[in-house]
Amino acid sequence: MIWWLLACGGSGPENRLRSEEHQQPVEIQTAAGHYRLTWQSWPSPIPMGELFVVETTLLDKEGKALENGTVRVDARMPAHGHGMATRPLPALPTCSAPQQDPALLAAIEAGTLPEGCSYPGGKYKMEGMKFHMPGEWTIRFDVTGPAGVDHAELRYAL
Amino acid sequence: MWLFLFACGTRSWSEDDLRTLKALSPVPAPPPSPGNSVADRPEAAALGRTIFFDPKFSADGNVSCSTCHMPDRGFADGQKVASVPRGIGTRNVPTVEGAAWNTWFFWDGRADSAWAQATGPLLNPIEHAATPEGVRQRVVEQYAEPFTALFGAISEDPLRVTSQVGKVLEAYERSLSPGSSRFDRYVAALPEETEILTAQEREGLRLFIGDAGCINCHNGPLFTDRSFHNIGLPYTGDGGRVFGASQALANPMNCLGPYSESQDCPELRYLDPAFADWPAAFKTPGLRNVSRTAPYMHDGSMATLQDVLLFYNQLPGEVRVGHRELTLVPLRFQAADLAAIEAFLRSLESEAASH
Repeated sequence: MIWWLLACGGSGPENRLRSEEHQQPVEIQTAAGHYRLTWQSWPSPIPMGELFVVETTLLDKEGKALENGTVRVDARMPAHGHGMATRPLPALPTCSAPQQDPALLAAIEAGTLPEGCSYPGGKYKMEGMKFHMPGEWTIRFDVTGPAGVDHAELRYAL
Repeated sequence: MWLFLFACGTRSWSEDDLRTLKALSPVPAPPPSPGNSVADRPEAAALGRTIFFDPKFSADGNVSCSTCHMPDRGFADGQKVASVPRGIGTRNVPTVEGAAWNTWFFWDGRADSAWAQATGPLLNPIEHAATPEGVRQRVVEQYAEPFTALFGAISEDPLRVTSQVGKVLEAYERSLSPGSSRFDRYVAALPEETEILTAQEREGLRLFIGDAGCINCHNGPLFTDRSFHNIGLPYTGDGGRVFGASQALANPMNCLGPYSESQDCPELRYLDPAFADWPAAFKTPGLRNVSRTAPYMHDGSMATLQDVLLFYNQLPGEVRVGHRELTLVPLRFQAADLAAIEAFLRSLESEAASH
């Protein structure tokens, strides 16, 4: 029971995490069951008012790492009616083409994975996240991969 | 006996409360300023202190930083809005004490470093009204030796020299840490309960981190989240952060500009100038030594701390631009509760002598 709680993000409902109980990494399943995500934040637990990074490992249902998908992470405070005051950006994948190619950068920022690019080990980073207020945040992971589009949400109490 | 203890606020703190309180104290060292290679050099701070009080960095020779940021007035000026011989501003003078701990500077955050901020008033035509050429000239005439020791040969680019004046001013401001207060001594002793804070002050603290919700924005050891909020003050034409965010991105003195010594600029890189809550939002001011920096708010519209607390107690008025921070609801507290919060705020006064 305790190991299940630890693996799934601590006490309380499975999709709710309190910052003081935040243990790394946290595994969640996407809503339609297509994928499993293991995510962690740097720093951890998520700090208030400071920039942080979310690194997500994208796995298929069998636990195999998926290197050719996209993972975008966003967060909102539903009770306050606002999201983050920053504009997070996905970290660049590993590509055979020069990474400063404007078309490639635009495609990545738009959430698509250009030809010749991949995320080794299925590791995706979202940079520039910031929780600027205490309270309850909803973190949303939007995923595209071989099984199609899916998403996962998690409540995080800061 | 229990009613007496309850009324006097001697209830013990929960584990969550203790965690919250420990995060409010003590004041740490200021965060790094990677764009300023002299930020932590004592000789730069000494030069910056001299320049801070020098009125010759102004068109008329009569305005220094200390004209508005007076050490004996909490490094503010005690006025509703800034005023100098040349003109009157539209915003209240923020304190410089603790300012270097911010992420964004000015009420609207249009500067992303303290050194960039310091160049603003220097070149503002209704403040110092200096020109970059005039700033360079003053440096050459009066400060050549210490400047050269810090930056090498004085640059021919007047804007670069102006940025360097900003950098020594930042170095000085980084030494202006709000000193330790009775609140800090109280927190340092926790979980042991002491009388360092009075019962009224402890009750005010309890409300501050609890039912009053002040800590939603006034958090961290400087009692500011360093972010921007619209609290629904009467709109006077000042859009606040919605313009400040765009101006920060365009500011030639910003982290990505030619005068910054680092291009590692994550705050600027991830800034969202179109965040929906920016209209009429202003920076959360820190609260250390707040009792010394009346009047309050970005427009200086509240003369006393009591006025501030009455505002939050009622939240009067319709919001014409943007929307009021949704976490704010009228407190509807009794007078005794408001007095307790005010007493707690006064306990944030630093105990040591002024800088």
